[in-house]
Amino acid sequence: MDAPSTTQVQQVREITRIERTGAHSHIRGLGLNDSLEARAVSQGMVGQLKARRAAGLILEMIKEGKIAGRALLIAGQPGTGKTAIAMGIAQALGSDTPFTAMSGSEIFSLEMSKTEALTQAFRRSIGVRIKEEAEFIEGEVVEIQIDRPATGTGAKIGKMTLKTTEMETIYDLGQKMIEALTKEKVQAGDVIAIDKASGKISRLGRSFTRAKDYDAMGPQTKFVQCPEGELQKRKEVVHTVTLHEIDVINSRSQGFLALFSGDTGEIKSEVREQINDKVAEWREEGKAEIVPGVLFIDEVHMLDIECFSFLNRALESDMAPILIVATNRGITKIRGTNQQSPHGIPIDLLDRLLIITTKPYELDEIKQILKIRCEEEDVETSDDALNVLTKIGKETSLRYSIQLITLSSIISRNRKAREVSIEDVKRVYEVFLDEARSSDNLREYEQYFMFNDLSNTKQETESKMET
Amino acid sequence: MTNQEQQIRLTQAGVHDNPDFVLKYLEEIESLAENVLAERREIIELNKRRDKLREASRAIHKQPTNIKMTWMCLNNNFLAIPTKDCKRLIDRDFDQMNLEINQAEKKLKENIKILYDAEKKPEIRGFHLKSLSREERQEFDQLLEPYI
Repeated sequence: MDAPSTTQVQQVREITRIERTGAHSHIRGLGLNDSLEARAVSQGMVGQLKARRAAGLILEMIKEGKIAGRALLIAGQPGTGKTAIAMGIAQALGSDTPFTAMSGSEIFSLEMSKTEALTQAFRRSIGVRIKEEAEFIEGEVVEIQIDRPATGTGAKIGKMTLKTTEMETIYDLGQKMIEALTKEKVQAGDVIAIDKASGKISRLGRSFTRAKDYDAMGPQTKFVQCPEGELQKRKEVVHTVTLHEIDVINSRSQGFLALFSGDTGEIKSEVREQINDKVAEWREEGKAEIVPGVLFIDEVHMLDIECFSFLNRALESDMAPILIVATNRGITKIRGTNQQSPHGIPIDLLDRLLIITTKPYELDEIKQILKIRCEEEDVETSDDALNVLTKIGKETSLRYSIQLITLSSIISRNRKAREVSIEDVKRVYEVFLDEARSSDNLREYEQYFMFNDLSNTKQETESKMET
Repeated sequence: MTNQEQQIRLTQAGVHDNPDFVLKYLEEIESLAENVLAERREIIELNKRRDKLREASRAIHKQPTNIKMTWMCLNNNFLAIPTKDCKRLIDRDFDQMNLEINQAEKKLKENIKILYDAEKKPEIRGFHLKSLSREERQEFDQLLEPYI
């Protein structure tokens, strides 16, 4: 059925992503129902009902465009789903909204200053949307009739009959149009589109109904369907680009080279001002729309006091995206100072943040998560093996038991078994240590490790006495 | 399993088990979609009429200028009308058609928006913006050249 719309939605920027199973690739969204209540298990998210509900409210705020200066902090112990919630928000926003995810330590680079890196990150999360429209005539040529004046000089006159599946009409051709048609070598049976504003003719191909006209055709003959609907159509196209892309192209003469080579270095502030003015001007006239996106900074305790002060100021701007930060630190020192502060973030920035906490998972939630990961990684497990993994997850850590899944599947494949059994899990558990057992091991055999503080000298004297 | 458990399961899955509601919902969607399709067909009809008017206008222009009375065919009636008036009538109707088509297209966009809302599809963004002129578009094009 023909799509009932005179408008077409087209994406200018194609993002290709290599599909792989990453740690959070099973998340498809936040898993909320219509009243923004979190479902227990949905779209890859399990548990953390309060945190997900809060994230859902933030999502609504983003969708309605009520932003500028809002910031969110997701805090919780390691392995409680902070990054997962951020991924859920990213998936739920879709490809329409710019979402930039970065880690706190990415700010520090030799090539550009911290403030430049932060500014670039901010501008990558803000999009500009513009629309353009074109009126054009699209149809299949039924016949073209061009009359040359008898005297040899003087204007040619012509008529062209165009049709679509629903209508047909005759157009009188002027001199210029006749020249253009002759140049394009338009024949009866061709499907053409004429841009009304510029008068440009483009051949879209040949109609299927005329495919049998000739036995032999040129190598580049393309066959298309006869156009549907009305002859004179209006096409509207909406483009969304991020401010950062406009910056980069504007500030270098070989703009595209800069983008392919990765880091762009510092961008002059005059260039930024120019862009801001142009965009603001269009915004005033209603010709452009600012699309605020989301900037997610993980491990935000890695930023230092200068970055935090910069963030305070940057959030005040009216073109600021929504900032979501995550950290698993408790009361620690703020980098760059000797002061202690909750989460390693200064109190004045904390004041601006809405804070969500994530709690450690319960036993049944861990089981659900492990089930979802097994599906995602394409591993069949027996129920006993799943229960054992759940127990391991509760006692040690969730990440450890997730990693055991793939490892035990490899062992079971070597055994030529169809599904993972308890023996496979036990084997992997013995071979790979989790954090707790590794620390115990270390404490026991500390003296035998290199560069430990105690009894390096004691060993030396002992060996001397032996001989 | 008990009815209550079943209800909990269903609400968790986000499925409606009430057939009357589903029927009403489908009816509503169908009528909104019918509006959109009807608007489309109307635009095509208006286009046909406009094209006919254009052809008539061209035909009158191509006549030799000394003909005072032109025969015009309206609804199976042939009328002899002074050429000047003919041109005036046809041009007036042509402009009227243009306005009507623009209005119909606006209405079509609104109907589509309502249909998308009812179907809970994500809104297509950006169509309420004013379009950029050709010069502005070219400016933007230069900025974006490597991407397109």
